[in-house]
Amino acid sequence: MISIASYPRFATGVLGPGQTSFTVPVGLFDESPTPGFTLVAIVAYKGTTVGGEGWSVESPGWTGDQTWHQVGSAVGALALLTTRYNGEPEYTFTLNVNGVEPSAGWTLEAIHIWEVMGETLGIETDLWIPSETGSFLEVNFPNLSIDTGQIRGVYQPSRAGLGISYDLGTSVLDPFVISFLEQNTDDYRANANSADDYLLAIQIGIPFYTYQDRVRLVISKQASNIGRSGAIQFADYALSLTVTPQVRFEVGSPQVIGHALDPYTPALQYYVKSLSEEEGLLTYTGETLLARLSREQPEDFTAMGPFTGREALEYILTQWAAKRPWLAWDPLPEFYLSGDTALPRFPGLLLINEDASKRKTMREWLEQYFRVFEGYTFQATAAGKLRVVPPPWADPTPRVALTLNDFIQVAEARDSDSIRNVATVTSQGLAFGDSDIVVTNEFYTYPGTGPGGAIVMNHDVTPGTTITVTDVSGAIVYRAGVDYLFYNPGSSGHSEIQRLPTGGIGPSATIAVSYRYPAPLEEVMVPSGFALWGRIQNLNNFVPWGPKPTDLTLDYKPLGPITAAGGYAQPPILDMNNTGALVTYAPTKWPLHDNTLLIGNEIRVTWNVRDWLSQWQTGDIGPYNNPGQGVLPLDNKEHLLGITNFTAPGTDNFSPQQAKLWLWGQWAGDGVFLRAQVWLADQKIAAPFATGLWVHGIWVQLNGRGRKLGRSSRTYIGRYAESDTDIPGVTENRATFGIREETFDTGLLSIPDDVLLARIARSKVLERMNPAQIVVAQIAPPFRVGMEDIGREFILPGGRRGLLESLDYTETHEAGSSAVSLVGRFRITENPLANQGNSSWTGVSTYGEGYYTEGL
Amino acid sequence: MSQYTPVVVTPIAPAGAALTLPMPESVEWQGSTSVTFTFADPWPTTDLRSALAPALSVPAEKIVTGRTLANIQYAIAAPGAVLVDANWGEVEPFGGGVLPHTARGLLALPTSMYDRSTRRFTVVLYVCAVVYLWGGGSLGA
Repeated sequence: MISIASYPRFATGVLGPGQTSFTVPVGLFDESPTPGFTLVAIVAYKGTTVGGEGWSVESPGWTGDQTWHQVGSAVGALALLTTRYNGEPEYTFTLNVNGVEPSAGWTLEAIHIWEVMGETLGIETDLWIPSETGSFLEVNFPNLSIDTGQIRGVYQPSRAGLGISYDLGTSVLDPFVISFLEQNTDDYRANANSADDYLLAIQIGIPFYTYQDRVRLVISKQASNIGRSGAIQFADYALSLTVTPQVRFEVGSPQVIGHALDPYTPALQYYVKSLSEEEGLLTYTGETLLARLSREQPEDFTAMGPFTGREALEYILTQWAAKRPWLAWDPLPEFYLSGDTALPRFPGLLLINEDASKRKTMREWLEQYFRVFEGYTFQATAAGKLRVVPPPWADPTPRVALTLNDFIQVAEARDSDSIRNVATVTSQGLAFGDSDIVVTNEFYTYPGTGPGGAIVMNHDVTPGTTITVTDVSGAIVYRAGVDYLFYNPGSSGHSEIQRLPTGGIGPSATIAVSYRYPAPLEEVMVPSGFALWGRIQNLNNFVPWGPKPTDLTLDYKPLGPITAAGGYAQPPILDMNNTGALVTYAPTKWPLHDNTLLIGNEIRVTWNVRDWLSQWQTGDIGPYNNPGQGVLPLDNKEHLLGITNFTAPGTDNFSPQQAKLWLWGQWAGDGVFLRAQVWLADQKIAAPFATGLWVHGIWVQLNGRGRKLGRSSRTYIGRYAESDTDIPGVTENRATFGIREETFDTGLLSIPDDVLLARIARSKVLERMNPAQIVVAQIAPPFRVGMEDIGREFILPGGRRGLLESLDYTETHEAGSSAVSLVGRFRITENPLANQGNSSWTGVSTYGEGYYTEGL
Repeated sequence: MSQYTPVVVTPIAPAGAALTLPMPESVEWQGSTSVTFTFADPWPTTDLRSALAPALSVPAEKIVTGRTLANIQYAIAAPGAVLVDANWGEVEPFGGGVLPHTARGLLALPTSMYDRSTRRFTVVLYVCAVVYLWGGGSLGA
């Protein structure tokens, strides 16, 4: 079944009040239909009282049936039509009420058209029409090309979330099914037009098989935490279905199944996992969405709290569902701590895998976050959604009382291993740290972070200029025979000046000026950054190791000049961004660390300006560290974080002085825009001690610190200790069974409250002080206990209450016999202090305040 | 030698006309679970299989019976099953009168046999108050 046109109710600009006739152009279909195939249309109207002869939706070539409901003065009308597609360019549907097209009072709510391909489960859509609890929608499809018979659906809002699908086809082959799935109206109420509106999710499709095809069905519990303390209860079920060979499911496709006595009412939705064939029969295995949760490893994310448990789960599921359309869930309950009425809150969500090679599954994340909320059961509904069933003490759902007639066989066991009479609860959940590094950045003038980085000189000397090496004597630091300059004319377009360890310089050697200096590290020799370069002017005579000021002038343009007052004239001199490239002003965002949750209204920024001098003659000088710090308010405005003055290095008197760094920052929601300006003094070579060829390097390192969500640095502990004896019978219990301690950690929920933790510890002792009472019962037809009841409390015969922990279902049809079995496991939830010594299932039970001791 | 009255079978769900079967050779109660009627006829004159058809639940292999803890007998059977009341009487041949019996349940024909000496049918009435059908629905609930 393929959707070829869909105009939902809120397709604004397309549908609207007063519209009674509507044309669906074939050219706008989502997918072009195939000539000869059957099309099915659902057209929904909302209007006023029909009366008289009723209403119909008419379109040439389409036949079908319609139904309507009246609630007060509102009428919801639904038509189901079919035709055979023969290449029509468009279809026009017109509403007809009492013989005429109404002029007002009616609204076309939705129109959906599908092409029936005869192979898929179906398509779901939403319709709002006024209706009433228990209303019937009964429709005939006389014109479908497949053998259909009668189709009928019913929805019952009173059975929230439960969809009922009737397949009453007289033909069992490929009956066409429509089911009406009532949504939780409260959730969608905001979208309703009026209080009378109900949302119907219509599932329409061809059932994949009929009950007669079923040979074997086993639904069994998978590895789970059912009954285990300190863990979420994960009702993960697997299915094995053996059918006759004409039943073909696609692996991965969603399917629903019901038990033998009501097979067309979904008890479980599953995804087909595998297919095998044996003796002519096909066996499919299936898994629910809980199994997928156990397998899928979601992407990292964070979110700022605070969240209650419900809000946190809603947020997490919403994140996950963005990329996983199969993940849907029922309205979630609030999460309370066992033994406490407070609503704990998560400071934030930090779903970040610490070890990228061992990513947590969704279930493990849920475990981390929600194991503190004991007694909540995660189950998969028959509609394929995740549902969280609250523990009995938080579950307002009316209890179903089971009678002896609901059971075939029972066995009851007592499990002393679960006894706990001392408990320790620890919490080291997520908390906001005080001074975590949340943003870091660094930038430097070279592709290196200190001396030894590339020296890239760009001598802007007029080519053709000649340098005459003259006598170097007198006070010049020149070690004759040791330091030499050698001009090495290059063959590839440039030449080099090299310092040679030995050798002599011939007097009056002529050096061409078209040259460059080789980088010590060739591989990082990228022209970039804040290289100060000297401009050699008017060099008729180049005097190595001792250029005379009159011969050699270094001009630090474009550096800014120092004013007479010692300040700096006009900014900016040089801007640099974190790529190291020289820029005029190009702010680059300084991103917040991945998955960082920031709290507070400022970031404290510290930085270090490291500068050094790479000098040809004397080698590297420095580095020198010049720290600074500032505060950046998170107000999206640019702020001057600080100014760092530093003296550029130099052992001699030509070094630049009075260097200065300005640092501006601007918060941008998810990072910081940073702008730095570096000023250096105008400086000329003053003495003949240097080569005049040097590079000044600057490296700026920044750290932004803020309050960040992370693991709490402190562990809080609450105990119900050996010295605590206020629970009746706990002393005797310890005497009988010895000290049995429950240790529990609250996972990622931070409870920085020793007192509350102690209360939780007490509640755990209260819950587990007595042996667990487990009732394993074979359920009798018609099976009033279903898969969706897992996690719910029942009233058992004799008045005791028991939580349904698990179910196992087996059904076989063999040549000689058929069999069906449904076995439920209940955990008695009676007052744990009840005297459980004199109970029997069918006889007289006596209960009272008390506690269990061996031998009673 | 004990004798029986003919067995009268009345379909009640779905309702149908009462059928009268010949006098059984023997009637055996299995507690409250089932009643087995054995018909043996060395000179077959009645087509018992055809006579039984409107009241028979088939196939016999698909019938599952059970009893709840409340001692309610139930059965699960294939669609088409018929819930019947069976009435018969034990006759004391020397003027002792008739001891009537009645039971409700599903009639099944698990075995029948024909050989050179006789034709023998074993008709079992699975006693139950309610019948659930494989694939949905129920009788007598």
